[in-house]
Amino acid sequence: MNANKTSLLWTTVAVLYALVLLFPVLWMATMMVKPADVMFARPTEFLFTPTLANFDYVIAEGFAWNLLTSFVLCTVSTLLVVLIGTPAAYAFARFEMRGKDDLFLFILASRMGPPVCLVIPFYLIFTKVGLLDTFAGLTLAYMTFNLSFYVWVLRSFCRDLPVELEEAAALEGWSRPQIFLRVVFPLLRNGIVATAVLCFIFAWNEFLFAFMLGGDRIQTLPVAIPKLITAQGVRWGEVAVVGIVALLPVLAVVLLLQRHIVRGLTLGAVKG
Amino acid sequence: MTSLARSVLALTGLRKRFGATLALDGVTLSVGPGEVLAITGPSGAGKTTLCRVVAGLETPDEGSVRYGSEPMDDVAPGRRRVAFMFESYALYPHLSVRDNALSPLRAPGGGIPRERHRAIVDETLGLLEIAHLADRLPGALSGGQKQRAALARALVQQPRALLLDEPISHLDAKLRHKLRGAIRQRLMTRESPSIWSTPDGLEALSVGDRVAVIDRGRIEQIGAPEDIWLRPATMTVARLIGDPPMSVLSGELEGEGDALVFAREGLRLPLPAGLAADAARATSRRVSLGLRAGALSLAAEDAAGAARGEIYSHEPFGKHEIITFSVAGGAQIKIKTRTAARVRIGEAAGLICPPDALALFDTETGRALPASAARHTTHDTRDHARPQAAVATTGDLGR
Repeated sequence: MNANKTSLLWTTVAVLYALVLLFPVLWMATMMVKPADVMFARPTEFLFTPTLANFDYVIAEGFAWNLLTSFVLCTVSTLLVVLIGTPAAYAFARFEMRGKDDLFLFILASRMGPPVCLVIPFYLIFTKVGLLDTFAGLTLAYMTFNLSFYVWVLRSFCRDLPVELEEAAALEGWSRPQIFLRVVFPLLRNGIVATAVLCFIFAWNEFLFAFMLGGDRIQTLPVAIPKLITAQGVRWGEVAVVGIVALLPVLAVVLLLQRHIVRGLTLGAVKG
Repeated sequence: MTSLARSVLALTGLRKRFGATLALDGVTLSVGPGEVLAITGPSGAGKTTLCRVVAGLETPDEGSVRYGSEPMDDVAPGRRRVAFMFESYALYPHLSVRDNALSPLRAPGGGIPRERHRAIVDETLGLLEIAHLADRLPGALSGGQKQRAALARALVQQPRALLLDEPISHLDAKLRHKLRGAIRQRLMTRESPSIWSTPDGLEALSVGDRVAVIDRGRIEQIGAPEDIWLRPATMTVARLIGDPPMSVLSGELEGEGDALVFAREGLRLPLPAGLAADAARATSRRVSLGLRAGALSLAAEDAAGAARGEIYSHEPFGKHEIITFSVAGGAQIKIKTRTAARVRIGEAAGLICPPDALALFDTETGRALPASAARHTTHDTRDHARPQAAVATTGDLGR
């Protein structure tokens, strides 16, 4: 009885807390379909005739293209990070080599400095080699900051794998690549997914690199949004539309991979 | 291949150091085809390291591993065709029990036709009484069940050598009794040599064709189980083997007329003729006397030939009882009797030591006194398994 009351209390607290956190998002969701004249009406009008005018403007301004650019850029750079970073993290966790610790610290260091310090050299180099305002250039820039993070995090996942599993497989006669695919990868999968989703979100939210190294051709969503602050004023309805749409891919990724992410994030916390 | 499958596994002069610890210190031994060598010793003695070196997972600092005439030192673990059951099980957590056991069969170079895999695995799971768990993941198994799954994965293989690192230590007593026999039976019918490591000395005696006792990286004694049991080559062996193990007391040899007496504070035991002959050849007067618990008996305080002391503790186990007898000066001696005389703690009593209850060791070297050890080779009748290693590592004892 008492336990029930306590749990009810906590549930209530949790729901209220969630509502507080979600309120701005919900508010923004209503703004998507609010006509301009009731946008900031005082007192707030909760009953209004929904309008799709905000969407028309957003589509006409070519935001769909920005959305696509962002999505492809983040997906491709994250996939490349996983492809390159997974073997790197595994190697750092398992193999002895000269200068391993120094190299590892160097990898981490590339993420320690503020991005502003990196973006200017990037800009200068990119202008020289013609990577400015190209898809390849931005993919490369995104990979530099995500790769170090990914390798750093995944290495600890690799270290948590008991080495005996690999030894057992080696004794059975499996080759290195087979061991990686049959034993290491399945056990690392949750860790890979969780870390990759974080990388995707970092890339998705990234502004500075996209702003400096992109341009008219390659313009990501975060860079495009300020276009809605016009000479005639801020187009709040449109900002709300783009904001909500920008939330969706991340939300979809997280919901789709939820099972792996939760397991991945708690892996290592509980020794199994 | 067939000739290889009947070769001897030979380890020569293996030495392995981890930092300051010498995990293996000059281990030399051989295991014949179809033979089970049980390795026993306290934890940290080097049992696991020995297995890992044979498997190729550790490179020895010195010494070599040979299979028949083929040196294994430069052969990668995967090419040695050694089946290894890890003490930590090392079950693949994402594969069912059946798939775990199938894994070595499916690996390249397994050599068993694919259509037989399933039958072999199911038969082995049945033997180990985990057939009903075949589709479970290791995470859903108890400790004992995991251990049997790991054992199954080792037993399905047809390796050139089988290494079992504490294969049944986490099973309940009943199952352990049952499986010990079944697994041993299975290992004997094979042509490959097997190594069975266990911290339990009695388990080693019961499963091994020969038993090697290892302590701090050194082989203390290799021999037939009876030899280890009746004629421990060193004090370490005497203290390790038995339930309870021998009580080992240090003292001195003293002459008393024609006879030799083992003397220490509170205890004077005249040595029986056989032992006295051995003792006469001792280089030092400082010796230790081992008293085998099962051969001792209690008597009245004033019984003829009884050593005096008092009852210190009494543990009834049902089928037998263990009595701790203490003599003046604090030395304690364990006695194992089948039926208890009425025993009261603190009561004065006498201890009867028949000749076969005693073993004599040189306190300095820890070794059994020469002549008693010289009797001990006769029990080893297997030609291939002639324990050269015992000769090499325990010196004059092999003679």
